[in-house]
Amino acid sequence: MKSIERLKSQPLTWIILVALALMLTLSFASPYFMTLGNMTNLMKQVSIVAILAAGQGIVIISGGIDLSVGSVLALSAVTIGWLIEAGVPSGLATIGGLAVGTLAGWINGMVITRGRIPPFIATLGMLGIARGVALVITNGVSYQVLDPLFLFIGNSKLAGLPIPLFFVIGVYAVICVMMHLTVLGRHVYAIGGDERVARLEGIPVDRQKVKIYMLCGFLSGVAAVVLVGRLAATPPSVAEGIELQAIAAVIIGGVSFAGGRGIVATALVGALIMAMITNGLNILGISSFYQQVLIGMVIIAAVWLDNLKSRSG
Amino acid sequence: MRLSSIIKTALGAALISGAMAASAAAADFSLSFIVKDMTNPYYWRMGEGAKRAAEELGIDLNFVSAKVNGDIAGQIAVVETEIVKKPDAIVLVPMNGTALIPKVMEANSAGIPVITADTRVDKGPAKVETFVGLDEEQSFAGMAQWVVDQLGGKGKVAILEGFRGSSTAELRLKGMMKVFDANEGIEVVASIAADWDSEKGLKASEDILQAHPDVNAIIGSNDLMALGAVQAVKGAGKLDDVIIVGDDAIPAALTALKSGELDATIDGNTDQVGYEAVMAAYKHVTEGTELDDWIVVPSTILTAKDVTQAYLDRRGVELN
Repeated sequence: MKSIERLKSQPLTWIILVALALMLTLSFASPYFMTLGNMTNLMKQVSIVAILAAGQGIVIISGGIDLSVGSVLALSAVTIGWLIEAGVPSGLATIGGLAVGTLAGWINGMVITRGRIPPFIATLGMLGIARGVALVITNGVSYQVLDPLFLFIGNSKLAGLPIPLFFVIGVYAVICVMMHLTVLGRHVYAIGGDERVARLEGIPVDRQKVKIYMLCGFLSGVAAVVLVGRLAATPPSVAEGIELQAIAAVIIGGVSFAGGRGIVATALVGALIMAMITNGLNILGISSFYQQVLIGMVIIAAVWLDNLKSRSG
Repeated sequence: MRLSSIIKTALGAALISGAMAASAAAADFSLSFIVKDMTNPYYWRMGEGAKRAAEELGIDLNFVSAKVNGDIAGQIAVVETEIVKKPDAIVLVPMNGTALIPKVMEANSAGIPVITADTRVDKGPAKVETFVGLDEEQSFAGMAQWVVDQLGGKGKVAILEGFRGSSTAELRLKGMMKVFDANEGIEVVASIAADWDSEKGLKASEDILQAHPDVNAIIGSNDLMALGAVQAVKGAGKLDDVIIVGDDAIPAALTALKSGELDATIDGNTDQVGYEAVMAAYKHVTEGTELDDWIVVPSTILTAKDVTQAYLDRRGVELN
């Protein structure tokens, strides 16, 4: 009985139940939904938003927000395409892309901590800057990436599962360990809970914040690697507005916007719920107008449920 | 219209106007051609067409733009500067159909005739002599007909739409549906908005292939979405079975045409837009020719065989 109570209080339990209910509904609604082919699709489709949502989840738990993840993703992708175009081996180009993402995150962190600029504004600035730089270095042109490494990432399978899924599993495994077993993870919760108290406790708040935004930028770079594999090209205008999907995934997962509370892994389920709505309605042939309405309602419902829980608990 | 016929028409027009230029005293005719962003390849190509016309007529062409596309205030400043120079005519590609109305009115009251190209200014108090540009609806009807012909009049097609609510997306969809609805053998199994984006085009195409594994053709309302569809179809191992077409003839699409992954794309012939706009402005001012409301520049359907070196040179595009 007690274990059931504990299970009920787990945010992960609730969100997984919602996801399962949605999955069940969709599989009754369309015979194509619950097929091996479509599940493989879904895993590939969720991967980019899921990786971005992991970084976003950490930032939100720390009491911040990162609006620049989509633009940084595009900048990292363009960097990879540009380096490969210039004849750099794909491995090095990948490192270049990851480095650019991390650098953008570092700049975000420095602007927020040293410049004392609120995260919303600092990363809103980076949203414009990173997208602009991506357009400048490519002159608006999309590079083709037909490198074997990226073709492998985008199109191959391992043990019957698409490669992007392994990126997602890897990212979430590392992030879960980091958030729940390391000092940095503990500090993320402390800073998000009450920054003033965290400072009084002697936590190096600014240094840890810079690390958090760097990590978020790095994960945008990881998402870029998957994106380049999936598209075999690097259009600088790609994935505009994806930051809102990443933020929505985190919120649907039940992470509190106030910070200090929540589990990053729930963002993965949140991302999956949104991907299922889009994929399911596409398969059913329902207009994208309704998809937006539905996702909007799910976001509000998720926060409402969360409020109810915290009031009753 | 095929590429070869376009070239013939262009050559014909060049010969006629060349003769005309020789007879007309044009040395002191100056024209301001204001685009959105002259560094953008799309407008660069329009400029090439405009320059060709200006050389044939022997007139003074001033090809200018704001620094970046989207900087509406910047374009307004450019128009103001040009009006001060008192050119004989202005060709304008407005960044925004509403915001540029006052500037067109300013040119009107200064007695400078204005022609819009590629993008319109909204209907209202501003007087525009003519609009030179593509007919999106007709253009996509042509592409739809091409797909119908390829399928022999029978098959399942899916459409990747642009941003819902954008007038361009609506016109393109309308043009396609008119043709598909008129062909009984054609069934439109899906029509999904992928917002001009290649990642969304990829996802939507993957979903289409799941729900309709027997789909025969996927039509992207732009090349980026069509290239997303190429990736999805490739992933499903159906590149040989599914016809994929796009629009805009961007360099990446030309590469995909050459490699056989993409089957066709639409070339909006922006150099011809530039050419026709300059010609229309000149004729209107020097000869008082009444212009039609809309000078339609026909688009061309490009397939792999049209992507020749000569074509690439004319576009100023290098593929690798």
